Amino acid sequence: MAVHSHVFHPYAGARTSPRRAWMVVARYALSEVLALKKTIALLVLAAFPLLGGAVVIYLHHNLEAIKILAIPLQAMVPIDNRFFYYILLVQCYIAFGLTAAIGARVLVNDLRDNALPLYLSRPLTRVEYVLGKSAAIAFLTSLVTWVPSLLLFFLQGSLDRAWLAANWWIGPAIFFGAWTAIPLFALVCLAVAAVLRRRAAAEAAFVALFIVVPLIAGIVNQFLHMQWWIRFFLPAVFESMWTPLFRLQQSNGLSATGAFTSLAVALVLAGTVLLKRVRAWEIVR
Amino acid sequence: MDTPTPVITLEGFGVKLGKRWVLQELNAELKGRSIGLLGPNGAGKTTLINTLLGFHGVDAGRARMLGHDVAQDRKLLAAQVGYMPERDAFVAGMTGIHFVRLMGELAGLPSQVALERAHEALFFVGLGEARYRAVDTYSQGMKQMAKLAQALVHGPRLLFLDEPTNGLDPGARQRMLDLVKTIRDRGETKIVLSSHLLKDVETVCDEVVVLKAGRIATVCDLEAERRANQSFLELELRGGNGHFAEAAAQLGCECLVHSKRRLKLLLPQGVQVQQLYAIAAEQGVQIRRLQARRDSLEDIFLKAMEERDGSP
Repeated sequence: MAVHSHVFHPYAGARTSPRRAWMVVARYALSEVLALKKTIALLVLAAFPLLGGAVVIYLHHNLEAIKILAIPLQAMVPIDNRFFYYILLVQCYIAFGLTAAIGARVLVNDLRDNALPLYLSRPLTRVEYVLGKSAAIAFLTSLVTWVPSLLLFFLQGSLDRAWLAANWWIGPAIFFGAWTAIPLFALVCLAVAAVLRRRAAAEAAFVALFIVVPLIAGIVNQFLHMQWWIRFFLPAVFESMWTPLFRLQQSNGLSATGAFTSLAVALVLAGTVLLKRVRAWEIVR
Repeated sequence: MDTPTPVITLEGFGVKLGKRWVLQELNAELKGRSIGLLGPNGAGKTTLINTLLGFHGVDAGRARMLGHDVAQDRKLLAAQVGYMPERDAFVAGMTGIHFVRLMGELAGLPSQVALERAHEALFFVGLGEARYRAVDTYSQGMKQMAKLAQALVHGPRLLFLDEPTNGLDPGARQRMLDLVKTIRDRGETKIVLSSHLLKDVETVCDEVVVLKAGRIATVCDLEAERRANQSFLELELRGGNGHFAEAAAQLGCECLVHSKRRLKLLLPQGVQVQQLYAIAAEQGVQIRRLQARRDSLEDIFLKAMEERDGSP
């Protein structure tokens, strides 16, 4: 029918499953953030450490190149579990930066302009709405964490099959390690945005929550000789969760159980805050 | 002949927000093509709409829309319902077409169909030329129209309009009401319109629910009222000895005396207006003005508000 006829008519055609409505939310949120220059800039930035990793792997399998570049063999970083641990750690920091830069936007725009009643009057629950928004952030952070890290892993594996057979478990470690960080970043970022409802404030608060607050707590507790603050210190929490996955020696005082408990508490808190704040009815200020 | 499925059925329906009952003991079966929700501020109109849309839980009784239970079949109903909220509601940074398409897809339209219908809906509401502009740059009237377009895009069977003429100038208000009437007259989409403006409700609706302090004060079939009050007359008199009303009552007229000079009469079947002129001539009364009118919605509303008991 031509749009120029200016008539209204009901729709009797096929409909998609209501179970897929969260994917629509995710797709539109993703297209919104991918239209931003800073998202593209951060994705490009995220490629540099991986390129570095790829070069190291290439050199390990190309003695002629090492000779030409006159690199002493002792100076070569070994390609092992520790190598992939650090690759993932660096990529997770970039994922943190990416979430801080674009995560709040996907929710704040809807809250600021009162779009939630429109979303939630459709066949979409609050949980599915949050799932859709989280999925958009998770997709982007996956692009800079486990996806490229696994590509590096398979690059190394394809160049040395014996290494792959001996170190196959590093692949799952990368995948599961990244998935401890991805939902944490996504849900905490959305929860902060839901509470503050302003993009700049939410971005600043997200960074403060993960860096400034634990640092201040750390400094205070160094003087008081208390160790509880380490549960809030992100690098220590990740280290404690990942060292068993990567079969490395743990160096901080936080047990893996303690770290996973911290993660679970943070996820539950963020989820609770989100479900409290993401509501359809209109709040008259 | 099959009786049509009621649009909305409320059975002992109640909603509690916090510890306070905002709606209680609502019982009604609404079958109109276009149902008006009236009531003073805080009467519970928006809460009723929000609960029917599934934003609040049902705390007492049950509610059915289009034959489906509101609490149990929420997703099924959500795909068949369109909602235009009272306040500004859009996604910042999106163009009109992008915004309406998103809402169509969320309601279950396949992506390509949603795009086509978004174009149609925006042309229908008169935003065809502005559909590639960001919604947040629209004027107030355009935002209202964009909200109507997103509510219509998926071809709902039931359309909730919460104060659709809010903030519109007279021209835009008339356009909005004309659009609503166009949708109503097609007969495939039922409408629930909540408004403070009695004139809007009177223009568009054929059934009205008046809410008062969370209860139904009255349910009124405006069409039936219009038919029943065809012989209702307002007279303005001059002169005479004040016995005109008694003489009219002897003719069988139900007579409401406002004052000596102003009367309201309900003419029974068979009594002609000429007979009133004859009485007036006998009594030496001049009829300065004679106007046939029906009870306006304002009369119905005010009568409902004066009722002490909130139940219908």
